Amino acid sequence: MASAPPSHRESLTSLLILAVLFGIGCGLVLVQRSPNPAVRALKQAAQFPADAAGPAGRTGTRIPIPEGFTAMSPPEVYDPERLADKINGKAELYLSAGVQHLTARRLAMDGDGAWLEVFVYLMESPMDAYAVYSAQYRPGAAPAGVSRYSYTTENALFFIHGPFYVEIVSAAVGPETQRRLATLASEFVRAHPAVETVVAERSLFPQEGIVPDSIELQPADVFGFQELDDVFLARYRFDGVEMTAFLSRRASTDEARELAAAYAAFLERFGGRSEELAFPAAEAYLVEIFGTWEVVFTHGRMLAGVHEAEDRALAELLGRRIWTSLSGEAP
Amino acid sequence: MTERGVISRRDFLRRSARIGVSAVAGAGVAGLCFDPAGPAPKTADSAAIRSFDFSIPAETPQIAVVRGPDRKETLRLALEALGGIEQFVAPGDRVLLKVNAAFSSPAMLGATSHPELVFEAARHCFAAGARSVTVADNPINDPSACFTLTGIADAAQKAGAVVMLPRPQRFDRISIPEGRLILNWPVFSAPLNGADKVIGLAPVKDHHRSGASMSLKNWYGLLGGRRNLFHQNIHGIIRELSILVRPTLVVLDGTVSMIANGPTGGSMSDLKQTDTLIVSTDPVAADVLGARLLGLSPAALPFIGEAAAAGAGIADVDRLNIKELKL
Repeated sequence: MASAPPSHRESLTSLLILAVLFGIGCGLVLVQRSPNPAVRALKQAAQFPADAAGPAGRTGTRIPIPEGFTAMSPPEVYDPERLADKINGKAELYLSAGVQHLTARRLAMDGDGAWLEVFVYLMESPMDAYAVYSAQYRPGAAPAGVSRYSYTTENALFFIHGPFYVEIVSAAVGPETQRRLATLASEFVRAHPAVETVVAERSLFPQEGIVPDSIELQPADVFGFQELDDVFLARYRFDGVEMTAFLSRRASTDEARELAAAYAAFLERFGGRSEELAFPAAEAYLVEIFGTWEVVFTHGRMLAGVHEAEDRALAELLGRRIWTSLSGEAP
Repeated sequence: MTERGVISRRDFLRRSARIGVSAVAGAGVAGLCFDPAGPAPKTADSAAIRSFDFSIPAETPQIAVVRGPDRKETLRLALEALGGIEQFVAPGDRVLLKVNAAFSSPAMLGATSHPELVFEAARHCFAAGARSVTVADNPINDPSACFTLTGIADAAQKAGAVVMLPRPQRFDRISIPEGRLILNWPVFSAPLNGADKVIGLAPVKDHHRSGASMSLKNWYGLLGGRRNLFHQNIHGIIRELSILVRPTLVVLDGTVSMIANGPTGGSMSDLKQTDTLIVSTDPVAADVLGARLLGLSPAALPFIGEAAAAGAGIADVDRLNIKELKL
């Protein structure tokens, strides 16, 4: 017996159901194409439990997750080519200082819902780590006590440890936040054994007239002169006149002398005028350029001098004080 | 079919033949549509040569500078001083708020547009009768995390605005007229294509490469691809961005300025309370005024002169009629 054809009502009902299902399907597609960013972030956070610090991996960096913290995101690793994808225009600062990798991770602080992000820059050497640390030092910050070169601000903690430069940046402020940042920093130091970095050049700058917290290590292209690299700078102020002192430890005495001569020649090439300089150093130059004075001299392997001093007498005075300091003599 | 659930041999063969013919026909159509070479890559010639001009013609730029710490009030006063938001947003307009959501950092660090300002700007637009307000940027970091953690997504949602994330299909390859850098380059064009008015919302920041990041640099967030290549010619790319987008209005937020370690910052000590909000139809003039908050002159920021030379605005702000107010 042949089955009866569907009634008009049945057909209509079927079509209606199909239309509803089609509508639901379309709705799902549309919603899935534009997920709520907040939901996505929360889902991402749920994926990384507190014990998911993971192995150090190829970067040799492991961001610890101490008790009281929860991972919000997986570790992100950026090599030099991709560094700008994380820190945009600041990448150049790290690239010129020899960055190997950046490892970053966000952690939630249990209890108050606040969060922080840890940025670990693995540099080629401890001095490279010091270079990026000193370039970004926040004057007046309180020492953090995590390592010899560490400081804390209202919401963040910055330090170097071996070849690592570490920033822990919190979205909260206050004593409890600072305590937690210190805990995390200490865990990191424990997880990465390293010899303490000591930057001897810092103590070679004369103390009189120095602007506090102004010592900085510039890794490359110093004063626009490509050959001049790895130079320590310190700002000085005498009677309202500012100038910069510089020191650079070279591989040999000859290299220091050649570099001093090359820098003086570079200044002359761009309009500088050399003047006689009565100075104890064998290799010493005094150049006036664009209304400012440059003193350049060598002391053994050290290349040193004064940059952009508006007063010749003060430039010579500071130059002599640096010479005295390098000689180990009493000022 | 002779009985319910039983099929005859003839019916079976007939149905099988029909299915077979349908399958072959379907495969044939698919085969006809199949392109073994795939879509051809777009060439420089195929990129659309265009720019996006949302400016409102006027004889002189309209600029208001309001001093005060409260973004809600400074924005209100600035807009009032310029004749109200209605001068810039008409009923039925679709407005794009181009924010700076570059980093997944909290609002308090000043690296991104402040959510309170995003909320207030969207609210003003809706009050003027805007049909829709879209909030968009192509962040440096993961877009979802950036919009969420900066608080911008939440602010947009509360104001009734929609966040448009930078999905691949929302980019077009674009060349700007006489461009040297933006040539066949992926641009986050969907939010611009769907807008009648564009308002830039940028914070005042120090920037390691360009010296400062303000209204003009804010358009960098419309670029896709390996845009960090442009850091080698940062002033040139900002100049070209000033040609790519001519906004209706910019709101430059110097309530708190990042005076050091930009553009990321990271410490509250990188910030300075500068209590200034600049609302301007001229992004060049806005940046000149914003630079002052960073202690910089236009000469220290070559992109300002280059953008002015490209016709994006006026750098000599002393000859402009600036409405200055204080809370």
